[in-house]
Amino acid sequence: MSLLEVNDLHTHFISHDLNNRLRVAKALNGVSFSVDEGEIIGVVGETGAGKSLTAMSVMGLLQPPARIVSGSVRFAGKELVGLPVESLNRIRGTELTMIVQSPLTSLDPLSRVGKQLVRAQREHRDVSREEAWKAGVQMLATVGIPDAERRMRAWPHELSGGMAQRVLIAMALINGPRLIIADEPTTGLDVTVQAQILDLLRGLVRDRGMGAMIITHDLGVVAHYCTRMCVMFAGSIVEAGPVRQVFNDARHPYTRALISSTPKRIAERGFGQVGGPPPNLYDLPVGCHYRDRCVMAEEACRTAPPRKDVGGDHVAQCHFAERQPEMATGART
Amino acid sequence: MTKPVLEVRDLVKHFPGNNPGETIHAVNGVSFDLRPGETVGLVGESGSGKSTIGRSVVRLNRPTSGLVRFGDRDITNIGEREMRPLRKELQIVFQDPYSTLNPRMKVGNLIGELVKLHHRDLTPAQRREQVTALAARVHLNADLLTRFPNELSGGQLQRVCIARALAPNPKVIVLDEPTSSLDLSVRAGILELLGELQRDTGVAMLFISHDLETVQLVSHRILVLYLGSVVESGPSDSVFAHQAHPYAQALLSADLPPDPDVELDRFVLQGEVPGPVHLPPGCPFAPRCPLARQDCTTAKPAATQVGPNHFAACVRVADGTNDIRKAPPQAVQTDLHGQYQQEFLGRTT
Repeated sequence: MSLLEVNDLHTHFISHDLNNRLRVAKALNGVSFSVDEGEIIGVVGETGAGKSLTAMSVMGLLQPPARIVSGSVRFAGKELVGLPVESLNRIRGTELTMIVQSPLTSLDPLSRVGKQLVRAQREHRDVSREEAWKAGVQMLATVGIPDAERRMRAWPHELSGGMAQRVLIAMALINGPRLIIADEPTTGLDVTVQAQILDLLRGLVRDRGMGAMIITHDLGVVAHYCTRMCVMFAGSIVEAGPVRQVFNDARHPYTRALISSTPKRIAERGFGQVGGPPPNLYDLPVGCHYRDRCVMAEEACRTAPPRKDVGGDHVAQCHFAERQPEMATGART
Repeated sequence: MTKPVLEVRDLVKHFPGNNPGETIHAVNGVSFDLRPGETVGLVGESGSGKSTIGRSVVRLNRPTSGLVRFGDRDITNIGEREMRPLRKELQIVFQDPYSTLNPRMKVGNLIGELVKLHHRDLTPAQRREQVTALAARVHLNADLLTRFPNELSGGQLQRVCIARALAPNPKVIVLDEPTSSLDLSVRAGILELLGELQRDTGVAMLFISHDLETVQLVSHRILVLYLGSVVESGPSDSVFAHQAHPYAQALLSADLPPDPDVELDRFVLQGEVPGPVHLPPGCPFAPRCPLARQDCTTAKPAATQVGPNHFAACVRVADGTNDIRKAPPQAVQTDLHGQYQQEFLGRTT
């Protein structure tokens, strides 16, 4: 059994327009994946593909009008969808934690770093203030903050972006989670600091046998820090598999287009097909959602594409997943 | 060699700090040339002064000292009235297209505004023709000209910004992180467009970005900045192939190529970029540099030639001891993994 199993998750934004007609944005359309212990899974895709929404759905952080309409999220065998908030709060922040994108806006600006770390522990565990403080100092040192004792007394606005991200990681780790979801953990940080943060995350996953899910749009992060990856498009995972296999033998045309639009590939092979607008979530195309932008779209694509296993834990949601890619990508010639 | 269209010499820009008496040393003596048809890339981490340089050369701020020469004119200190006619030849495109476009104007008028400002003798019909031509040139669908900015995607809006910058036929365009807020596939389209426009018009570009791979793709020459100083400069290929300055080596080694088969030869630096209020004496990188020695902290090192047109400002270049991978071993890696085991689990590896 995997640590986290997400099965056929559908999240919709349900609202009414000016004429009080129902408007439904189908933001997640059957997302399925799993995360094992000791594994880092990378989720990539363009803006609006549903990467962050997947994380929010898993964490139970959706706000109306967003709603999980069907599907299941099982964490360590326990179903999270439909769980009352009190039960959910016993899991979130302890066994299942999250690091969000903008560290400086995610810390409480009115409390010192130390107080926030103590609060996070005492909320979930019966520890004394002194013990919690000590654990906080230790955790700050663990995440590579020099002079941790002094930093405990710092206000969030006194921290640099890299430091604030480390504090958030420390807060996510303080209760010893089994799964950590990192939503764009290094976006907005400088490259040299990014390397430090990712090394830290990977080290912790290895040492503690935690599971981790990194949401990013930086393919470099996925290529070098993740073991498996999921490629999302219009609220579905169109391709998933071991990182090396997906990069070298992508079976979904969207994945190929994504990989071929990195500067390095452009330098090697020239500009390929240019990305188009994402499909309208209020009115998704019937069949394959990528149809309108796809170079190999055919009549068959008007029906929903099957999830095809192409071997070695590598799946692609495309009618032509078995087809040789050479004949399809204009970018490669 | 063609005459540079833009010359920058010893550019210095200081800002008053948050506390009285403090000075933010944003740019500290930067020199470079920009020739017609050339793209110069400025790379560096946040706070390295990239954007300040971009703003200084189009005179959105007044340099503290130094020289900015555009064509034959010294524009370092000229007033706004004299600058005005030159603005059409010096354009800038900003990072965030959402916040640079007036949300209450239609896209066609947003482009038309620039055409009107810089070609005052056109009839409305001619102006509309120009706008359509510009839209076609940036591959923007003509239907979109009647829409408002909020109806367009980020990539389309950035095309509008580029069309606006192109409208007065500029000689220089400063691109301040033009693709940072865009998705990968959209980014590729914008980069392709920029290359195409440069080939067609011979416009010179100053491309500012923290994304090393993008800079490598579009630039002919690059300048690596650290705390407002150029630490290394040279032809793009040459700098990416072998960096001489320890900071440039560390910066480029931290890049993660989107290919799992590339072996990383990483060198992780300690700490973060210090604030620009109190500059370290001597070499700005000395406090973080694993190779720093006594004379690094006394005087700012001069640019030393390390290849054709390729310079690095490091004292160790002269005797060839500038390879950070040969630094003393205890300083080499920030061993967070080991540090964690030591401090949290109380055991040593």
